[in-house]
Amino acid sequence: MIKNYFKIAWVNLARNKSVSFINIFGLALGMSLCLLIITIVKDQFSFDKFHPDADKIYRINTEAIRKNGSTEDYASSPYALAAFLRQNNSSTEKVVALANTLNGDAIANGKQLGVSGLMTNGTFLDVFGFTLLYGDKNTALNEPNTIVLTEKTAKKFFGNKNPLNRTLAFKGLSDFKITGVLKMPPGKTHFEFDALGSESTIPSLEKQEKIMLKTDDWKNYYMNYTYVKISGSDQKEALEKELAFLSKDQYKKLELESRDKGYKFYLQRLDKIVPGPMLSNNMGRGLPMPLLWVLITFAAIIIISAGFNYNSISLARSLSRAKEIGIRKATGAMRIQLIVQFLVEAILTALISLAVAIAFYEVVLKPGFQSLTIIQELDVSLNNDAGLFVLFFVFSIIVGLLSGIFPAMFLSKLNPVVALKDLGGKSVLPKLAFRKVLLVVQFSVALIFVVTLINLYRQTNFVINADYGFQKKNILNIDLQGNDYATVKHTIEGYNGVKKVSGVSHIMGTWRDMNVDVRIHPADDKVTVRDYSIDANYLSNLNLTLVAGKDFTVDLPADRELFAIVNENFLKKFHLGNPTEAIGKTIMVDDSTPLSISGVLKDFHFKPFTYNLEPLLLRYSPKDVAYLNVLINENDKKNTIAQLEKSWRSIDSKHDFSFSFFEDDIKNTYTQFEDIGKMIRVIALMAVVIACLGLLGLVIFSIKRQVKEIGIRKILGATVSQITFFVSRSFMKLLAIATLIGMPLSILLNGFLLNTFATRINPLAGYIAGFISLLFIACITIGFKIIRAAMANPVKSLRSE
Amino acid sequence: MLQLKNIYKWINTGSNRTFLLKDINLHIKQGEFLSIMGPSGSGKSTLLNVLGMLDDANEGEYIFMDQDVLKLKEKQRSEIYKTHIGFVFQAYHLIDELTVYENIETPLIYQNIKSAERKAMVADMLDRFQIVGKKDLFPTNLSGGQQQLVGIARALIVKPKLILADEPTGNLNSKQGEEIMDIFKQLNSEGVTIVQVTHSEKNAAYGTKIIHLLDGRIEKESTGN
Repeated sequence: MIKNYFKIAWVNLARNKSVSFINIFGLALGMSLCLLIITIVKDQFSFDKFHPDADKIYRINTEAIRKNGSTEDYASSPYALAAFLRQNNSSTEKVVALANTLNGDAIANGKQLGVSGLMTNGTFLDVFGFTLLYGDKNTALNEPNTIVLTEKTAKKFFGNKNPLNRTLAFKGLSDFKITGVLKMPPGKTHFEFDALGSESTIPSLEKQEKIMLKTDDWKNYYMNYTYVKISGSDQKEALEKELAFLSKDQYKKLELESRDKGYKFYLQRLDKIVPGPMLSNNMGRGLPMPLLWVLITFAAIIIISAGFNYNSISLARSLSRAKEIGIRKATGAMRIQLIVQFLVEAILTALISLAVAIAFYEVVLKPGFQSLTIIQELDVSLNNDAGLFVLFFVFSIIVGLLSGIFPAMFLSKLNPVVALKDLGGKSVLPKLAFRKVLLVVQFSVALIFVVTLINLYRQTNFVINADYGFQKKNILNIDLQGNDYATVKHTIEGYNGVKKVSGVSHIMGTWRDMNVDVRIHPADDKVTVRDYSIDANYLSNLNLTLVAGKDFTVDLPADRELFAIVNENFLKKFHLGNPTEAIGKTIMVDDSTPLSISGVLKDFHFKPFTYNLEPLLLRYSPKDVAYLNVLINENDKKNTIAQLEKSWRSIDSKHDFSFSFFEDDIKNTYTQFEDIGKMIRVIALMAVVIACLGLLGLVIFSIKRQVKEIGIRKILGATVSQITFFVSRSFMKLLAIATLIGMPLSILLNGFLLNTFATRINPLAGYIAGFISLLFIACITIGFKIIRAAMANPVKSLRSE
Repeated sequence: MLQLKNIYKWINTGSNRTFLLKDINLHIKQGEFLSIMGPSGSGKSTLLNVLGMLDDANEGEYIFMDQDVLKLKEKQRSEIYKTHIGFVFQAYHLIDELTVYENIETPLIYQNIKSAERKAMVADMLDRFQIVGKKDLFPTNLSGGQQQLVGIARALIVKPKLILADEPTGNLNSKQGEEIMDIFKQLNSEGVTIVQVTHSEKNAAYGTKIIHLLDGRIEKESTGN
């Protein structure tokens, strides 16, 4: 029986190739996007499944409450909290601290590599499902200066040899004895580290001031993760109470960071970390839940849109299928059998679409997705995951059922007598209204995506090419990677092709940030100001304009700061009067350092264009310079760079020469917007194609209905253009309605998106361009069909026999 | 008024050529009432379509009011039939979505006649066929005879010199058919040239001239009463 259904369904699909194509192509497009999202979601829900008692393990997160009323959630918490809980709390079975203080270059087996590690003790191995390949779980992290490497890191340093008892020298920290190698975990995890150092090393590092973490510092909630294991819900409640108490009690006597009002600690269960809420300082490659929801919404919109097409095209075909239905019914088919038949047809269509979708996914979507920089290392391959294919299969059957159920109900309802008698008539045709609504929805969605795409593109382009107010052309930023500023500078300064060299602590115009608390009088509230440490060449190299005062000079003491250069906005913020008045006034930096304002800069954009103009503090401190800005000759860039690289190797043999053009640094700042743009581009394209397929389906259907009327009108003297106008009029009306719905939504969404930029383009042109391009695409889609119908010989359509 | 000289029309099916019209020579004078008869498939409707310029002949010459139709451009041709020819169909071919009034008005719209003028002309027509009371009804609410009246009114509204009627009474009962034929006769006496295709000897007899078609050829030509 069911085999028979599939056979009939197959014959029907094969016989109506153009209709099947529209159906399959549209569904496949939508499904490929869904496959991607399903893969991502499945990946995200497979994290941290290998830990025993995962439901009893919690991470303590910190919610920082800012003075301006906003809050920010951190995955990290004070190290002091972990220490406190260990000593004073009975409601937790175990407390694991993971101090993020083990980052930098490490040397072992003659190799120097970057290692990012965490510091913890044996409880970590006890609580979590990690096992050791080499070493003893019970003792590995007990002694100070011991370290456990991950299998991957061990391989990088030692190949396949057992590294136990060898030494790993962490530059700037200490030497560590390797006491264990962690086996590759059996599943995915949110933890991300190359090595685990023993926590008992921390006190000595702290004493030597080699790390910023202080064991009793409750104010530093950035550098440590705290996990607890609890035995039951009573204990959880007790712990929550305790945390609420601590978050008040411990901070009573402390002076908080200038932007903070207070903190709250709360528990996040281990299996709720990935996917989880958006958190600062998050570890690993988990996606935040909100982003996952956005992706799911996009996929849903697209697949629903494609399902609409299946519906509307199937209904449109009821005319040609009326006879078949009539005969089947007349020969005794029950309604339910017809419903099953139509559903089987829909499911078959969906399954064929799945095959096409998988191909499309592999060839287009996956490579495209992997080229995005914001979502790196996400596992979206389909290989060797049978479970995923079962999911896909189930998904496509659901898609088939959902898109097929309405046409199945409608078609099976046809009265056989009417269906057989009135073959050319309208009684078997469904009302157009429903299909028009679907089309309007599709086009509204398409419009929103197209408009957003255009505006995002324009905005990104605008900010990349915008005038920041400083000279960045032909400037090469070289990362000193710990090398002495003066040495490198002097080496390269004399080269041919190098015009000027200056230094700065971090690159302007990027997301990189440093800030410092500033006040004018000791009694004032502290205000956080972004600051850059520069040398005496910086202003002239970047062509920054002083409106008052003078530049730093090389004869200033390098070890003691005396002067500051600020921007106009700084003067406004601190009420320091006009630039000339401000010169010579003193500001307090970092509580202790008085600086005298020696120059005032004209305001310029030293941060990406998502920021408003803000106060800026420039300090003369060559020892803090981490980047050189090398202005090179435009004509001979290649040679100059080669020369620079060569001399770099003579200074530092361990690190690769790392440089970038200033203009690229600025451009790369906006990669996340470019990535969003890329995603929207794919989705917009899908939305447009699916909407056009829907439109095409509707046009074919409606021309079929109107073929007689078109013939009559032609005989009565209508020209081709009059007929074209007459037939397309109703579609233009639909597009107009879609615009009326989609445009306000686009304006809302675009306003919201563009608001992330402090300097914005005028989105109006984007709205107009989006509308016109969609109209143009729609016209091309239907134009051909309609004109062909209008040019057809009326004699054919009016033949009565 | 019009003249067909050695008209051939054929279709190719594979290597076979099927002739729909074979060497048709026909002269229709102003004011004539021509009936075309013949069995199904003899080429009656094809001939009518060629006369109405809806279909091209493959070979031959078609002179309509001193113009060589087959040599005209599409646009000029449509200009001729828009202003000089009215069609009446067996299946009426009214537009179901439009009212009686709008159906009759449609050809005028395509001739770019102003709204006020159109109103007057349609009103005249409604009067003439005594269907004023039905002007706001839709075709589906009318009987076959009434629909055909609307069809004729629509054909006449452009004041054509030639009316082409393809079995105008084919779907009607004999009484309705008679009424329609009387209207044609009346029109003919007012000077309108009429060409009708019919199966019925009785209706054919309304014509001043009758031709019989068989397998695409004019087999016999006779005069009516």
